[in-house]
Amino acid sequence: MKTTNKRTSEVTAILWVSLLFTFCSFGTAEATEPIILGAAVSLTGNLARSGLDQKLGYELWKDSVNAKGGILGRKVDLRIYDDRSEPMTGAKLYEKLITSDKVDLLIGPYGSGVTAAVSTAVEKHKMVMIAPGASSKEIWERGYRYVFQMITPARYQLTSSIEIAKNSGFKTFAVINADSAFPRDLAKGALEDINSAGLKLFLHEEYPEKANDLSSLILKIKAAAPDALIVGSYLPDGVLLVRQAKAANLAPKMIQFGPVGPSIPDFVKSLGDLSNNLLGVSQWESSVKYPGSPEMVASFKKKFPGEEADYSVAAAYSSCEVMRMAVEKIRGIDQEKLRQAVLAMDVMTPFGRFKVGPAGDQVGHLTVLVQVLNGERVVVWPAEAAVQKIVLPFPEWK
Amino acid sequence: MRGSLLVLQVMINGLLLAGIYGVAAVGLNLIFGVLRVANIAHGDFIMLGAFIVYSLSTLGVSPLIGIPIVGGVLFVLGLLTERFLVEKVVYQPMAYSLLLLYAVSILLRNAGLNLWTSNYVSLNVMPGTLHIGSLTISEIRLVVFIIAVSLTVFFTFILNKTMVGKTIRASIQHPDLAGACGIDVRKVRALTFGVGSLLAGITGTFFIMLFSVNPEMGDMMILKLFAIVIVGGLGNYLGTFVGALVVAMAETFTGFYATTEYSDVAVFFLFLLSLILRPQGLLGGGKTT
Amino acid sequence: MKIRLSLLPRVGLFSIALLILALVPAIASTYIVTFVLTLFMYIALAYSWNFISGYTGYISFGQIALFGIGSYSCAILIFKCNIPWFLAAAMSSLIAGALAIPLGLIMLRLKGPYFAVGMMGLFQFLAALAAIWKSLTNGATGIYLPPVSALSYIYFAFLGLAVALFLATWKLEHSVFGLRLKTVKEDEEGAESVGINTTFYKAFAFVVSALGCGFAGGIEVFYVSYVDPTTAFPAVLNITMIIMALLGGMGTYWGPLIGAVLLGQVSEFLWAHFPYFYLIIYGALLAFIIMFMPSGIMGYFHKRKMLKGGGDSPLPDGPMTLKPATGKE
Repeated sequence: MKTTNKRTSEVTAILWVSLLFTFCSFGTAEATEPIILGAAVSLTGNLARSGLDQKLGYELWKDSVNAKGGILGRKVDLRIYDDRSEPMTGAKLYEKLITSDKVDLLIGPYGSGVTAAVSTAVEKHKMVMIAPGASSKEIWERGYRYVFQMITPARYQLTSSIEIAKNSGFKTFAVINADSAFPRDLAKGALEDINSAGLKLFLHEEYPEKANDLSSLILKIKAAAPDALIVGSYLPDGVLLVRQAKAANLAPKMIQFGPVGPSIPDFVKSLGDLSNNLLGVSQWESSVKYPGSPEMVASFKKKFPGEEADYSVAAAYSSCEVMRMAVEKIRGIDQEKLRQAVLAMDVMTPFGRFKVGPAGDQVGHLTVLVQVLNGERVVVWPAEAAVQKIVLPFPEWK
Repeated sequence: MRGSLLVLQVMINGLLLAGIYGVAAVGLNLIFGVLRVANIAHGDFIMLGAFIVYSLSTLGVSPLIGIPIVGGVLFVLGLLTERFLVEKVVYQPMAYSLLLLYAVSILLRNAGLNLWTSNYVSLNVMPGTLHIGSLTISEIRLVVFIIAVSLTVFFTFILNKTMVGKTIRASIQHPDLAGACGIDVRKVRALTFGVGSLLAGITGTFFIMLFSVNPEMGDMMILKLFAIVIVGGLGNYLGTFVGALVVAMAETFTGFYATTEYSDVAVFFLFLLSLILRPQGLLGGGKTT
Repeated sequence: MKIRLSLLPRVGLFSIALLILALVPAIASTYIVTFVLTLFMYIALAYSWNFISGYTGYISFGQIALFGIGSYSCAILIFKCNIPWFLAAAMSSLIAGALAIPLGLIMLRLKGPYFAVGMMGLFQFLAALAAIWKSLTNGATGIYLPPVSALSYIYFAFLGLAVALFLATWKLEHSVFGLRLKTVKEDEEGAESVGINTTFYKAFAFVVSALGCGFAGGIEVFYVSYVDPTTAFPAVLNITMIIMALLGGMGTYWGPLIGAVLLGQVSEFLWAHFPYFYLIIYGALLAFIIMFMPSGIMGYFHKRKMLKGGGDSPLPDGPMTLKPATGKE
C-alpha cells in the first residue's frame, strides 16, 4: 500500500541517516580524544622551585601546541602530580600515570635523584620518557633504553670554560666542589678537561654542602696560588665561599662557577657587588637566539607575569617539543617507534640542540658562559649568544 | 703566608666562627640549661628571626631597625609558646616537652617553606675586612664575636649575681617554694622562654648576614647547638662559650689539616664523645638527675 | 584493652586477615599495592620504635640511624658482593642488630633527653660518616642499584616484617621477660635493686628495634634502587615512626598498628588534597597528641576502662629524667 511503502522508506531513510550520523560521531570522537601527557614534578619539598618551573614549562607548551591545533589534530592535555621531591613517591606516581591513568606520553620529573627512581618504573613498562631535569650520568649508565636526557650532563658543563682559561693563558688550577653527586661530576669533568689540555692542577678538594665555614679551605687555596679557581657548588656554599674569599683576600685570575652561582638570580642578589666579574655556566638563558626561544620567552612573560623564565622552564618546554616532533614523525604514539625516532633525532629546540647518544644521554647540547658585569648577569660565550665580552682577569676585591 | 701565621689565621677563623655559634647557643642555654626545656625548635626560631629581618629588608626596612623588631616579635612568640603549649607539659618528664617542641619545629619549618619557598636567601651587610699584616678578619664576624662575649658576660652576671637571676633559678629548681614566696612561677617561665626566643631571633638576623638561610636550616643547626650547650655544661654560660670555641676550633682545624668534609664528622664525634664521657659538660652544671 | 577471647578464634581472625592481605597484590592496582606496602613499612618502623622507646621509656630521636645502617649495608652487599636482595636485606638486619649491641650499650647509659638528643647526634654522625667514607659508600654520590623486578616481592617482605614485629611485641606483652623489661620504664633504679639486669633488657630491646629498622632499611633501599646519605637517614621517616607509635599508644601492642594505619591513611589523604599543608597538619597533630592525648588512642581507651587509677603515663617518670623539681623529693 502506498502509505506503508512511504512509511517504510521514511523509516529506512531515518535509519540510514542515523547510521551515517553514528559513524561520523565515532570518527570525530576518536579525532577529538586528547593526547595525555603525564608527569610528576616536585611542587613541594626542597626541589620545589625547579619542579614548579618545569610545570610552568609544560603548561606553556600545552597552550602553545594547542593553539597550533595540537599534535596530529588532537588536543594535548596534561596530568601532573606532586612527587614531594621524594624519589620513592615519584616512582609510585609514574606507576600510577602508566597503569592507572594510562597516559599516552610521559615527560620527566626534576632532579637526578627522583629521575633515577622514576626511570626504573618507566623502563619496566617500556614507555619513552624525556628527562628535562636530570644531569647525573649514572642514570644513563644502567643500560636503560627508554629514558632520554634533555640537558647537558655535568661532565661537559665546564668544558668551554677550561678552553677559555687556556686561551687566556691561565695554566694552573684549583678545583673545589660540594661532596654530592652533581658537583662531583662537574668537578670530575673539569679535572679531565684540565688534564687533557695539558694544564696543571694545584688543588682538588671536596667540602660538605651545608658547611658553615670554608675559611680553612680558602687558606689552602690561597697558599697554592693557582691562576684559576673552578667551583662546583650549590647556592648557600657558593655565597659563603665568595664572602669568605673576599674576607681572606683570595683573588685568583679567574673564578668560574658551575650552573649554580652567577647564573642564579638569588646568588647575585645575596652577594650584591661581591658577585661582579664572577663567571658561571648556564644550560640556557632568556637572551639566547635558538629557534623558537625568543617567542617562548615572550609568551611565558605574558602567561606568567612576575615569574622568571629560567632554564628548567625552557628544558621542560623543549622536552615536550622533542616529543611532539617524534610523534609527528612516526604519526602515532607507539612507544617502540617513538624510541627509535628520538634516538635518531638531531634537532634545534628553543632550549638548544638535542641529540642523544646510544645510551640516551645528551651529547649535542652545550652550556653558555655567563658573567656578572655591573650587577647584571650576561651571556659572554658562545659568540652567537653573547651579549657582552668576557672580562678577564678577575680584578682585586674592593 | 708563613706556617705559623697560617695557624694563627686558622685560629682566628675558629674564634670568629665561635662567635656566631656562641650567640646562637646563649638563647638555647637559657631555655634548655636554665628552664630545662629541651627546645628542639630553637633552630627554627633562629630561622624565623632571619626571615623576618629579610622580609623587612625587602620592604625597605634597614636591618638596624629590623633587629629590634625581630627581637620583639620572637619575644612575644616565645612567651606565647611557653604559656600555651610548653606550660601544659612542664611538670611532665622532659621527653614530653621535647616531642612537643619537635612538633612546633615541624610546624614552623613547613610554614616557612610555604611562606618563603625552599630558596636560600642572604643579606649583604658589612662585607668589609680588617687587615692586620697578612692576617684577615671579617668585620661582621668580629662584631658578632664581640656580641657573643658580651652576652656571655651579661648572662653569667645576671643569673648568678642578681636578684632576677636568683628568682629565675629558684622558680625552676623549687617552683612550690618560690610560689610560696610570692613569685609567679608561670610568669617567670614564660618570660624566660621569651627572652631565650628573643636571643634566637637576634641570632637569626646575624645568620642571614653571615650565611644563606632557608626554612629548613633549623635542622642542621640545632644539633650543633645542643652539642655546644651540652659539651659546655647546661646552665653554665662560660661553659657554653667554651663549648662554642671547642666546636668552632674543631671545625676550622679539621678543615685545615684534613679536609672540610671531616669537620662535620669531627663535631658530631666530639659531641657523642662528650655525652658519653662527661655528660655534665666540661665545666659541669648539667645535673643528670 | 583486654578482650577476653580464647586463643583459637583470635588466631583464626588473624590468619584470615593475613590471607586477605596476601591477595592484594594479585587483585589490586599497582598504586594500591604501593600504598599498602608503604603502610607495612610504617607499621614495621612504628613497632621497632615502640620496642625500645615504648617499653623502656628511652625515647629515641634517632632510630632512623639503624634504618640507615640497614639501607647502606644492603646496598653495599647487593652492589659490591652481588648478594641476592632478600638475603642482603636479612644480612643488613643482622648487621644493624650486631652494631646495635655496642651502640646500645654506649647510648643507653644516657638518660632521658640526653639519650634522645644523643640518638639524633648518632644519626647525624652516621650520615656525615657515610658522606666521607667514599670507598665504602660512594660518598654523597650514592649507590645505584638494579631495578626491582616485581613489586609483590617487596610487598610480602614488608608484610612479613610487620607481622614478625607485631608478633614479637605481642609475645613481649604476654611474657615474664616483657614484664621485667617494663620495669625499666616504671622505675629503673628500683628494678636494679631487686636484681633485674636493666642493662641487658634495655640492650635487648634496642637490638630488636635495630633488627626491625635495619631490615626495613634494607628492603626500602632495594625498592627505590638508590641510596645516599640523605635518603638513607630520612628525617621525615624519623618523625613519622615516632608520631605513629605515639598516636596509637606507646608501650602497647596494638598501638603502633593503629597509629600507623590511621596516620598512613590520613597523611595520604592530606597530601593528596593539601599538598602544601600536610606537614603542617602533621606537626599540629603531634602537638595535639602530646598535649591532650599523650597515651595515644590505646591509652585513651585504657583510661576509660580504668576510671580509678587513671592510665599509665607512657613516658618515664622519676629520677632518669630532667624535670623541674616539684619539691617532693
